[in-house]
Amino acid sequence: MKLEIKNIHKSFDGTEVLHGVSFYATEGSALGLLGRNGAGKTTTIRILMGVFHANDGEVLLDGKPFEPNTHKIGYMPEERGMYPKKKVLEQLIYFGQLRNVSKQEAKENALRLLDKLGIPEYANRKLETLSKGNQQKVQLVQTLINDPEIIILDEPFSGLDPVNSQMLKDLIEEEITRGKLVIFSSHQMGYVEEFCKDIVILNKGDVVLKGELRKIQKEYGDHKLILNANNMTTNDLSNLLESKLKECIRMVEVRKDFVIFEILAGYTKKEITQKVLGLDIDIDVFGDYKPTLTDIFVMKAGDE
Amino acid sequence: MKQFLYILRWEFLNLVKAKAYIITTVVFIIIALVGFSVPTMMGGIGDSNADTAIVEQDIEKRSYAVYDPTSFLAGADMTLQLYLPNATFVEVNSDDALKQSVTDKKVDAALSIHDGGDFTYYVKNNSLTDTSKYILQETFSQIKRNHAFADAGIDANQVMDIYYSNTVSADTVSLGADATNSMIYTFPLIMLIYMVVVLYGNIIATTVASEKGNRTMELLVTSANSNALIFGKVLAGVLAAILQVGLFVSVSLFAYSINRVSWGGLLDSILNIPMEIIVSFALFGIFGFIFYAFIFGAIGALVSKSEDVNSSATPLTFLFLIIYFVVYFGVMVDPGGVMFTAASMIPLSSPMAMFARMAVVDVPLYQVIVAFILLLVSTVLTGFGAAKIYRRGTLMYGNQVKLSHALKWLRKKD
Repeated sequence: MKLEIKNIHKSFDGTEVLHGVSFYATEGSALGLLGRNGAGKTTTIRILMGVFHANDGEVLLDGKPFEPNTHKIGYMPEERGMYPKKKVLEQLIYFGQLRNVSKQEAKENALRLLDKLGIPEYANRKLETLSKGNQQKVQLVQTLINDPEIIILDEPFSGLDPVNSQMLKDLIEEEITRGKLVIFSSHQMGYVEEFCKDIVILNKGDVVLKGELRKIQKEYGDHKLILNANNMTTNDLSNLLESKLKECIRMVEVRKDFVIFEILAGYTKKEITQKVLGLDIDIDVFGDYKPTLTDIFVMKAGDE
Repeated sequence: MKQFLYILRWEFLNLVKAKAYIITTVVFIIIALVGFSVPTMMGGIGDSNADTAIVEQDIEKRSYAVYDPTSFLAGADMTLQLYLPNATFVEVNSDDALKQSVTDKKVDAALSIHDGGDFTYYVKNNSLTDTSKYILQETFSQIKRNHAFADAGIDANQVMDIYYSNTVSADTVSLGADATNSMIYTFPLIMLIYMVVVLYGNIIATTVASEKGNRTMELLVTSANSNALIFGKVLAGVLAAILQVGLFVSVSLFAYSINRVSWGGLLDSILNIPMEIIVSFALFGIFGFIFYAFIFGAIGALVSKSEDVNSSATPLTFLFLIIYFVVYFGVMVDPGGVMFTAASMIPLSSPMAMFARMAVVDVPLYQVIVAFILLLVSTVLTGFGAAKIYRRGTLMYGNQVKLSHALKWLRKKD
């Protein structure tokens, strides 16, 4: 199963907010949709869910136009919302029925998932009496009530404490293992790194980076080294490297704990290592640079 | 269709299980039961002999001060006895004394009789229900006629015999509508439609707005077809209204039928509403209510929170109030007029106007059919329009969207 967003354009009141967004997700894996506030993540998801229509472009499932209502989809919107004054189980069954699940099946699924998330005792409580975290769990149960093939989660971890986040994470991972196609947006890069095989970074309505996360990380770390010395600041270290190794490296970033530099073409890692060891510094850290998703995100979507 | 039925059931049960609904239903039933039983509790109002008894009882207790400088009442004791058998008359010798006796509450009222029997009626506080003046006026007119008969040498008693024993009777057979009978049920039915549309329209708008307020709406529009959602919500509101109104009307009819004797058959025409009026009222009323309910539903989708519903719905409520008065005055003043006829054809007003017009004038069948088709088509179109606005309004938060702006959405793709 392949869900593809193809060249999506969307305008609101004459202002284009998505400028030809394209990416795809496949079954049995999760795609992380990343971007700063206002980058167009939620609009993209809403187009995917059919809440909005795109001005141009298309959404395809296995090459055919995608109709959300005709597939088993689980959706957790950014704007959380269920009936606050209704009992948890009662409304979970209702949402299940709306998504073509029989009453009995919806009830069984709801009780199983509530149990899995550690809140079976709240089945017959009014939603408004639950804590925010538990309401979020109920929202996830609602998302999975119809055992969906495609799961779309907009900021699923926002507002959750680490314990509840872990519980949610386990459940989503289980769904991925079961072969589900998962797309989720998040600001919490740690979770995206753990879950997602692929990522898409949106910036001001454009896709600025997409692809397999490991490959991207490798690509961004290639020919880059990190270095820190005990007897000087990273700024001094940067100045030293730029004066002594000017012809064979390029300074990428100076951080508080280390500097990152790139090996210029024509030089090998071995040669650079020898040159660094020849400097009169007390080396604290020296090795390959392995960029985190946050690093990549800041690079691609940070302020210019 | 399955989704629609789930939504209909969910919304209907939410409405009828709500405390407010249960309480108002119980209150309506109590009002109907008690209201129609009042005459029974008070001993009946329908008996004409009882009416007279009440009037006489009132008059019996009344005392009058009389200043009669022209001796108009001289020799009129018999007439006074006949018309006012239990009244007490106290003679005074000036207007001032007359007024004083009223001010001091020595008498209930006072009469200053002028030349020819004309009189001024003095009372301390003039009451809307005080009919004594009119009874006295009729009595004094008879006394004056007796004086005239005597002056002309005619026996007044003989004249009275001839006068009262030579009357004719007349029956009216209406070959079309009968406004005299239909008024009794027409106005309550117009009021019923007005109340149901405004009350339940606002409830439907509030339901939609609250789903937007608590952010359930996005989940709903991605879980179900928006047509199914708005049609389900609106029809659930309609069913809840029909159930409540049906209960109220049934209990009212039941209460009236068991208290009918006490009412003296005063409201019998309610029990005998012609079938064509009932059918017309039901069809135009129900579809008209659905028509307005869709508009109220769309209004609910245009506001961000339920507190804003009232201000957003005010123009529509005001329009409906104007229509109410147009229909009301159409029935009262000009049943055959162009305005009332037009009102009965236009979908905005036909829900109230058509059955009302049928009740007071003879309406050609083709007009009824055309008006109904217009209403039906408008209702369906409004339903789909409301669904589109509902869907577009889902994610519009912040300032409320004007209805005029929302209408532009109908021409656009999402």
